[in-house]
Amino acid sequence: MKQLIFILSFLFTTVAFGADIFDKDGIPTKPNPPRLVNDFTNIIPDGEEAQIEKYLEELALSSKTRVVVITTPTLNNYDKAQFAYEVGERWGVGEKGFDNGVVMLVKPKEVDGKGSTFIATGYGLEGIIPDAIAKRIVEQEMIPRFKQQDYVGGIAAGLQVVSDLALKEYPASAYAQKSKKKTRVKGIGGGIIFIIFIIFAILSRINRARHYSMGSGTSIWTALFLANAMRGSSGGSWSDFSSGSGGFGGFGGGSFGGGGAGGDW
Amino acid sequence: MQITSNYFPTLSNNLFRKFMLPFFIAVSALTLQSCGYNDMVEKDETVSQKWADVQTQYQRRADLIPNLVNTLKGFAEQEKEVLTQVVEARAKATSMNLNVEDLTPENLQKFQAAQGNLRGALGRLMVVVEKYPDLKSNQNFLELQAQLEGTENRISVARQKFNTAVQEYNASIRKFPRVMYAGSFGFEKRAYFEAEETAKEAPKVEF
Repeated sequence: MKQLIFILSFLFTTVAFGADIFDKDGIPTKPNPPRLVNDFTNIIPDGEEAQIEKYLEELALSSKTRVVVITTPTLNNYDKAQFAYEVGERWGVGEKGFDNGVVMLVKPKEVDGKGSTFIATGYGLEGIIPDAIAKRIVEQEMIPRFKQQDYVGGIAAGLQVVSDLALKEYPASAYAQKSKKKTRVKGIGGGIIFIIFIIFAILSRINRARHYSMGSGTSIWTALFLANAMRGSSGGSWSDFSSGSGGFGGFGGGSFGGGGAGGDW
Repeated sequence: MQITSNYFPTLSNNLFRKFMLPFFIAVSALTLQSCGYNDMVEKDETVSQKWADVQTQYQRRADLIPNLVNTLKGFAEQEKEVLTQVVEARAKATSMNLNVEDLTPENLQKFQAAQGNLRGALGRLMVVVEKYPDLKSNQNFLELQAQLEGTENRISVARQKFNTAVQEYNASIRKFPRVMYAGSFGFEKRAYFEAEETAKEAPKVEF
């Protein structure tokens, strides 16, 4: 009976969401407003879902590690690793430049008889959650519980280990120090270069008018040099400030390199 | 009347020399930028960087193999043939080190073929070791397996990102008006990774 309810609820959610949740490539579209828990198969009861969301938001604020949980009724013919990677990369889970995002993917068994799960790690987390560790989390914490249809338990147990690991890697203080450097603005750069260029050119002309025997070439090169130096120092971008509006500050724009591990049951 | 017409050209000449010349230089510097020289350089650099990433990931796989082979030797001595194949394929694959300047389609294809061989040999090895249940409880082996699987994923991501970078670069040098002068600046079309037929057929590294 329990099985039947499961299947029915999956069918229902698949029909209800099937058309909406995936983009043209078959990858779930980024939720707006951003959510960390994206239970597209309704295997997590609403109460627990809110709890996990809150837990992950706190984790995002204290460790800066963004962990996204996603359950999907189908992998749309993707390999589980590829699917999790695509979600992480397209949503931009984790902060830009730090790439400290995690995607925990769960595809329940009840839809087509094969359950799959994968923990994808962003570039920045490959060091503290190496593939072998991710594999261990999946094999030892999650799949045994999934096998007993305890999806919430499995997800929570996996998240517990992930967050324990993450908290050691990015304590807020070290992070604050590290992120200080990147609050510059691009775009104004070109304008400033232009203005400096003009000022220098005019100055050089005035200069030349005064001592017209002197060459004028140098000041233009000086201006060019200064302009170049200016350009080099403007690295960051606006997106640092404007990314998302969730309680955790949005997904952030992190990047993934294919790290992580998964398993089937 | 005559005075003005004589005076005017000198003024404009003076004006031109004082203000317009630097202005034109500034404008041409900016147009050069919008003509995309810098943009092409940037895209070219991205391609180089992505190629370096691809090589890093292939190297990472190659680095895992000696350890894997040593671990397996103890358990599966009968499988010497498969193990030797892996070692040989690795030697061949690692002997091909391509600089980004040498990335002609032929070279890339050779590189891809060598790496594809190694992938195939590894896949066969992983199928063979299924016969040894002892291995399933060997922590060392399990970790190597996880790392190897992760490396395969990373390779495919790195290749995908390389292809995207090449695609953007190629598109940028072939657009008008850049297509007219990109070649003379030394920007040439770059080669892609092609989806491997063999990769699809190769035994899936299922762990």
